[in-house]
Amino acid sequence: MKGVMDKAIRAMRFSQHEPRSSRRKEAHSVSAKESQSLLTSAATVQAGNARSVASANSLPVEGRGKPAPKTYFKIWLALLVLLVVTVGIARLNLSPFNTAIALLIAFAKMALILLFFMHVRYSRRVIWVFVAAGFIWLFIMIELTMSDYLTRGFAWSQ
Amino acid sequence: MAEARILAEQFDDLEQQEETATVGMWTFLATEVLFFGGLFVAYIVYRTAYPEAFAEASHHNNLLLGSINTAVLLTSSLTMALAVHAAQLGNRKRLLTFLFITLLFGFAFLGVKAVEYSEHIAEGFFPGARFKARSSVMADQRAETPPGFGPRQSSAALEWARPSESGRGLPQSKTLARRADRISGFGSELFFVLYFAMTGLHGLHVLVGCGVLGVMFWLARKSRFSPRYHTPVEITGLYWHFVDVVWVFLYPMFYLVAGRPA
Repeated sequence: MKGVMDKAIRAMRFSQHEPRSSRRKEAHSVSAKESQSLLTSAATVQAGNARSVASANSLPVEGRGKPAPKTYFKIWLALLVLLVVTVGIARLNLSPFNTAIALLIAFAKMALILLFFMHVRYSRRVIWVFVAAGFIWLFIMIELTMSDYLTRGFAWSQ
Repeated sequence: MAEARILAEQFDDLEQQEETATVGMWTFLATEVLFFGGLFVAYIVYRTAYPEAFAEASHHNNLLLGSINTAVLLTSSLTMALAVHAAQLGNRKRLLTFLFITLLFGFAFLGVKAVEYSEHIAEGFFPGARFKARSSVMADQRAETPPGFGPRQSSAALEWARPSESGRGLPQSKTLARRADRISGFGSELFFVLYFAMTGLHGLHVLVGCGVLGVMFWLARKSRFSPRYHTPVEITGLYWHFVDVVWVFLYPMFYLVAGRPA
């Protein structure tokens, strides 16, 4: 079992070792501002066998592309703006839409936190799969539970 | 630090080790999603059942304190992300500073929560025999069977099924008021059961997070982390941000249920 997982993870890693997308490149260019990571990013981006280079030269694991503090501050500002917006909207009475808007904003906040603070945006696909798994099962739980309740004349207080 | 001490023998190299730890953490977080998920489902079910009572009960929550706490947690996520970044760069002093600030924000959150809890308990919103909204209508309720999974009834049918209520010559407005009261008795107690269970479980996670941050602070002080090895800080960051995500949903669920009176 362990062997299988290992193989899968390693296949994932090797297949994506070259900068996988423009996203990662962009992240590199951002982190390149930090003096220390310059060398690392260059080494990592340069070649497909960067991993062995990295371990041979005992370079930091870093440089795989993590956002810079500037990005974090922007995300934080966006989160606070969303917070203010959601409080403002909650004070209006848009009867059927209040919940929908509040949920929408909550999902937007979650997306920002997951993608940037938790680095999912800069992570390999295997991480995406694990992130998605939890939410998909939660969705299934909610969906099946509610499809039961809502089709059985579930209206206690009305 | 010697590589041998930080690289466990089952891994080829540090990168593989870090990746494995990250995948493992996400697996744990997936179980956490479902752990909280059960409570989320309970909330959805009972809010569907008692929409008015949930809206009404939620207005007893202190919106200002709730919003402040949301801002506190969001900001703590920023400082946590900055701490992880400092760890990546191997900047020990910045790492220690940001870990400490994050820890302070965690305690600030718990402090505000404690104030809110004590307010609720003082106002009699702690579920149980002394629950305030129920005690006023307790006598009324005892006679009634608790609502169940019957066939769908319109409100007119419900009124008809309870002649004792509208048929006793009570002024119409009073009847309606009593009916609303009873609804808020059942529903608002459920609201506060879920409120205390969910925010309590979340608060416990914050508390555990604070403990882990303390350990990270201690390890960082002992210079255990370097640009090459700082996986524990990253993993702690993932946990902390996850706790933040949970709150991002709890906040609209318990503070922003419907158009609040200004």
